[in-house]
Amino acid sequence: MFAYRNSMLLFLGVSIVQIFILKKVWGALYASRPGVLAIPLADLIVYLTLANLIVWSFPTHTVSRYLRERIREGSVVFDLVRPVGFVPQMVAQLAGALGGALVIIVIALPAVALAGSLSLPASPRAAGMFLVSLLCAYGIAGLLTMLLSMVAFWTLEIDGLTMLYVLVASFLSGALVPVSVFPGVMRTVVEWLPFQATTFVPASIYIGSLDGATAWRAIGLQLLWVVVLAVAAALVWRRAMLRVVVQGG
Amino acid sequence: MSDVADVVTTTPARPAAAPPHPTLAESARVTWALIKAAVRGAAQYRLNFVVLALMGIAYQGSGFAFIAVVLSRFPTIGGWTFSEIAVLYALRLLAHAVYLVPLYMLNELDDLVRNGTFDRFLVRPLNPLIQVLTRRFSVNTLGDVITAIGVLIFASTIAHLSWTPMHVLYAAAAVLGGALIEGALALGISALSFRFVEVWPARYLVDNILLNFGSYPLSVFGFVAQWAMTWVLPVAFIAWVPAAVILDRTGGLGVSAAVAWLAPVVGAVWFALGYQVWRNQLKNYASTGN
Repeated sequence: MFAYRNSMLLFLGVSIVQIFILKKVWGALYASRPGVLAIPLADLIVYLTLANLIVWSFPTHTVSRYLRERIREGSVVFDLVRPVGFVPQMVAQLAGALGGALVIIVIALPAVALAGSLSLPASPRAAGMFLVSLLCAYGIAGLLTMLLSMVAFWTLEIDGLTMLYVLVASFLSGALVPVSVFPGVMRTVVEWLPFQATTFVPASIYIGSLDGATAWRAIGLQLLWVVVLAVAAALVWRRAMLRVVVQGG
Repeated sequence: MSDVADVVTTTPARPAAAPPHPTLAESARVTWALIKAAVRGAAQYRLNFVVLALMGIAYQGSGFAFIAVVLSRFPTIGGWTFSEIAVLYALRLLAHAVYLVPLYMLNELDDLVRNGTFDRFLVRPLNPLIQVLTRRFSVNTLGDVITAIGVLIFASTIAHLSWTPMHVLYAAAAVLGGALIEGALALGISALSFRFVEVWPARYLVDNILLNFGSYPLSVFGFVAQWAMTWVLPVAFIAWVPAAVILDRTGGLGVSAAVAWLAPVVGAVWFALGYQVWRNQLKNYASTGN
């Protein structure tokens, strides 16, 4: 993880700029017509700050870059013959990257709070549900990253794809616009995609706009996504092993 | 090797008949040949061509999608309606595309300096900057061009602009001016890699600031940010100020209407500065060795 410290810090800097811009733009939107959304502005800013931190902490860049290198150099062959399976190795990678991100976040928290806004969870119960939901969110994001990275077994090159994925995923996850604000058909599409379960759900639970039975239902949906994506990842993994090409091997 | 002149005079491979300084016409002819070769090279990889162009579209389009979504529920941002912000966005994208197509290769200067490839540009009789820029044609810049034209067509159909010849002339000059501002920053920061080798994080951060702040009326960010984005980093002159002139709403810009009409000149001044930084830093180039 710490090999990527500089790029993690850089992306954090970009996230902080983004959080500041979102705070100001949403402030201007609320000033132009009050009462459009049920959620108060102060809560929305906390939501956006938290959502962008969550998106930043997803190890998409680090893990996809790591796997791409292994596949391109052919050193993935050593990963495959280890007594520990490849999937647990990937999980360890993801967990390590996440741990590193958490350390950086704690240090950067004052700057983040200044650019956006932070507050305590809406209630102790919200805090508990938030942690459960966040864990599920990392499961979903990790599986999506794994699926994305495995494309490299076919194409060898996934840098462009990763960038495209990060852009689309952060837009559809609700990190810029809460999912409830998307208009008509777009909202339905966004609700049926897994991205909102990685960000919108935990951040909404934290500020208390998702609560009670609705919140538990959202967490249930998150678990469903974990299962569906895990099955998909297992299937893709089996196909990938049939056609793994070790370069120069 | 620390001195450029040194390298040139001690290179034995140079034929005695070759002029030490090529004429402008010769430079132009060689540059044109290099550009054609770069485009031919890029066109060989068809699929990559499409993927990279799509990436360019998604990168610039996602910002516009955000604005479209929020302004489907709210009337204005900082007093600017959706059609007005669309004009602002179109100008920013056009300026960005005009900057990016010729200067994209500056992104790879870090690599060229680190692995010593830049050495060979110094011993050839053509401006090293042109050699860097014509190394390859980068296809994702086409995505930026497509998005820019798309948003421009969209913006001009919904915004009911009064296109007097004066406005058209000004818009063209403003786009060029905006491109020169972005180019100046890219050139100035990239040139620092002659000293510090790794400067892409600075490029990335500045690009992000231009992209993110530049898409909105800067007045929403508060006085300090607006002032800094006008007089320290000239983000305001890339698109916000020109858009206000074209839309006939130069109040609240933080600069007078007369200065607003001069926005294209700001670009020229910044670019001259940026190129000067490039030339000064080039003198400091010390090869990383081999």
